[in-house]
Amino acid sequence: MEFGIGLWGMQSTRNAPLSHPTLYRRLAEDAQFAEHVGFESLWLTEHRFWYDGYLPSLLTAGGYIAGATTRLRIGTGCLLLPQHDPIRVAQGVNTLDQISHGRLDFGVALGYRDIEYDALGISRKKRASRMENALDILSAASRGASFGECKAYSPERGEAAQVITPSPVQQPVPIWVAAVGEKAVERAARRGLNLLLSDAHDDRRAGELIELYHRTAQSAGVDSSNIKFGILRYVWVDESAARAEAVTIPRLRAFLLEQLGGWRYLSDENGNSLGFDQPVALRKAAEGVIRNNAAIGTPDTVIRRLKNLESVGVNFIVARTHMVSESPEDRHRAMELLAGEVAPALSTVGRA
Amino acid sequence: MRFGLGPFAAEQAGNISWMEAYEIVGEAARQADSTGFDSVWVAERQFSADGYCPQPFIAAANIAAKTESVKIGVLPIAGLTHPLYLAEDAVVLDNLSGGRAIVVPINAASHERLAYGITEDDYQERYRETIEVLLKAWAPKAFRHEGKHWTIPAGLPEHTPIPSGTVLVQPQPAQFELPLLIGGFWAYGRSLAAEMGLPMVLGAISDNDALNSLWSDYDAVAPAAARRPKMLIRDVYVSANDDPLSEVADMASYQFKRYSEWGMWQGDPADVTGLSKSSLIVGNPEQVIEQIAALDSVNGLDHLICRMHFPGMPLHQLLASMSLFSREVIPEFRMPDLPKQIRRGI
Repeated sequence: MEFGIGLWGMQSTRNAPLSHPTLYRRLAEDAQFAEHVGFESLWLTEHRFWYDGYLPSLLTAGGYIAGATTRLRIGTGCLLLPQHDPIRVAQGVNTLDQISHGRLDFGVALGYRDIEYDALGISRKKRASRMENALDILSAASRGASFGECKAYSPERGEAAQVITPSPVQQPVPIWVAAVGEKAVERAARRGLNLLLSDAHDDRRAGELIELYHRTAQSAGVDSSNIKFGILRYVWVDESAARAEAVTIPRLRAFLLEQLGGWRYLSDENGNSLGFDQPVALRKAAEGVIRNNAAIGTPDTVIRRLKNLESVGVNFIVARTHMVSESPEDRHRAMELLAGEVAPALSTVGRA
Repeated sequence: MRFGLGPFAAEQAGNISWMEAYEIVGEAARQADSTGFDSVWVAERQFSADGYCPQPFIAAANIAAKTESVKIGVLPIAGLTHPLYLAEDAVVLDNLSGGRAIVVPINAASHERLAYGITEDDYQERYRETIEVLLKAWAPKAFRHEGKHWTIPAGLPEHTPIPSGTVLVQPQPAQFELPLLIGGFWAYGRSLAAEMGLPMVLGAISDNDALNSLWSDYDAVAPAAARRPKMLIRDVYVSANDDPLSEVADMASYQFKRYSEWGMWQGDPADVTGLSKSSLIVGNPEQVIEQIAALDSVNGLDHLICRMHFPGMPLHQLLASMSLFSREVIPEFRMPDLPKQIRRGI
């Protein structure tokens, strides 16, 4: 099992308002601390047009982290690929990989907020086809090949077939596909890309989706033996179980209710998206994430929770220790405990 | 006068790989930050065989992490893709640099335009519309934009309606007003700058003799107060050796050959002596001071952006040239009648 630390969205929320230049300065400090205690990677998250200043430009922030660190890998968890121009993204991926000396882990997701698509004049209905098209271009660009080779390219553009420059250091840059539903798992499997499962999946569901990946890969003739099966998990390690329960759980609850309610990310058992208009169902869904999918407490508790993930086939955890409202000191202590006490019990924390 | 370093391109030239090219940018930015330069710049070109930086905000953010006070200027190409991408990249840079960003949108070369399937006429409109959107997106108000090429928000029927019909780009710039200047590398950009009353940056591709008439044309339309700061980009090299021009001749030639290939400059790039008269600032410190003073007396410059990294130039040569520039050239422009003993060192 390997660990990345996440997710930095550069948010100044109602419960933890802070100036953005300060948030970005702390991002550099957090990244340096993560590198120091031995995390393999640090992961950023993207959204746009949300009141808290949520980070809309992951590759730009990635260039900043690359300048503040030397070994830490930089993960996008995730860049909402269909909302972007694929040529620009491919150029950015290759540039960031050069600037960071090959430290980019490039995670992509569909995105689901209508306003994000609408402001950019892109139909949300086209997000799956745009994702496939962009993955074709990224895969060509990552090998230094002409994107004119991509069949999906020419209908949308002019005729010129150009080569994306520079080429990346890593050949290829690892691509991670975020998956909530089965279609996204199958998409990743057909292409042999790493998988990044959601914090909305419980351990059992994560295992089912990993099984689905292996089956799909096999029938597509893709070797899945070296694939990273990652998952997002809210993780907080504290010496005191009582303090974790009294401080961290309410903090996570407030964070979840605000974002899940505002963005309609979770669904009820019938697949209907939940928002502020269904407060009871929303609270129930958030409690489900906290009680079933999070790992919060003493090192022993967290080890026990995460070991179960290992048994269902997960081999990479993006630990969502950054929950926005904690102090940098508290966050660093939790990161230190995770890297020092928990990760060694689940094999190794870093590659170094 | 203020002095900037760049714009950097981080191209693969000579024996310099891309990885080394970005290391050179970082090291030079560090030195600029601690030796009296006011700004460091990165420019964009796409699909260049040498890998000229296609995503300058990533390189600029990297510089921000390595510097404390220097302003960070970006020359991104505007109008090829949706303006909000540019707006968002810029606000993130401004925040992560603690409010040090300057943005100078420049025009696409024809090969870039064609790669996006955009005609020349359409491109001018797209460039103008991009500037209009940037001004709205960086203002502290939710906005709506309806133009020929983009409607923001689009209000597509399949999406949940946005009650206000507006959006607000987040985060807001760290600076109350994010500096926006127009890249005056093409006639349309210069006339647009004058018309909109935005300051203009003239490029290395404008010959010395042409500068004054370009500013005059601008002044004839724009109110004089609007044009400040007056910025100019020049390729600059300082060396104490006998023949500084010979030390950068091939690299300067490479630089202008590229401008010529992009259709932005006409001339013979192999004629380096000609280039040194029309476009370059090259010499020992005293000669460089004379050349800058001459440009200033004709043009009244506020900010000279010095492209001191010629394609393929090794780091030690760049740092040596920068070091001479900051000790023996910059002080001359910080005080009238500077005693020679101070500039030369006592």
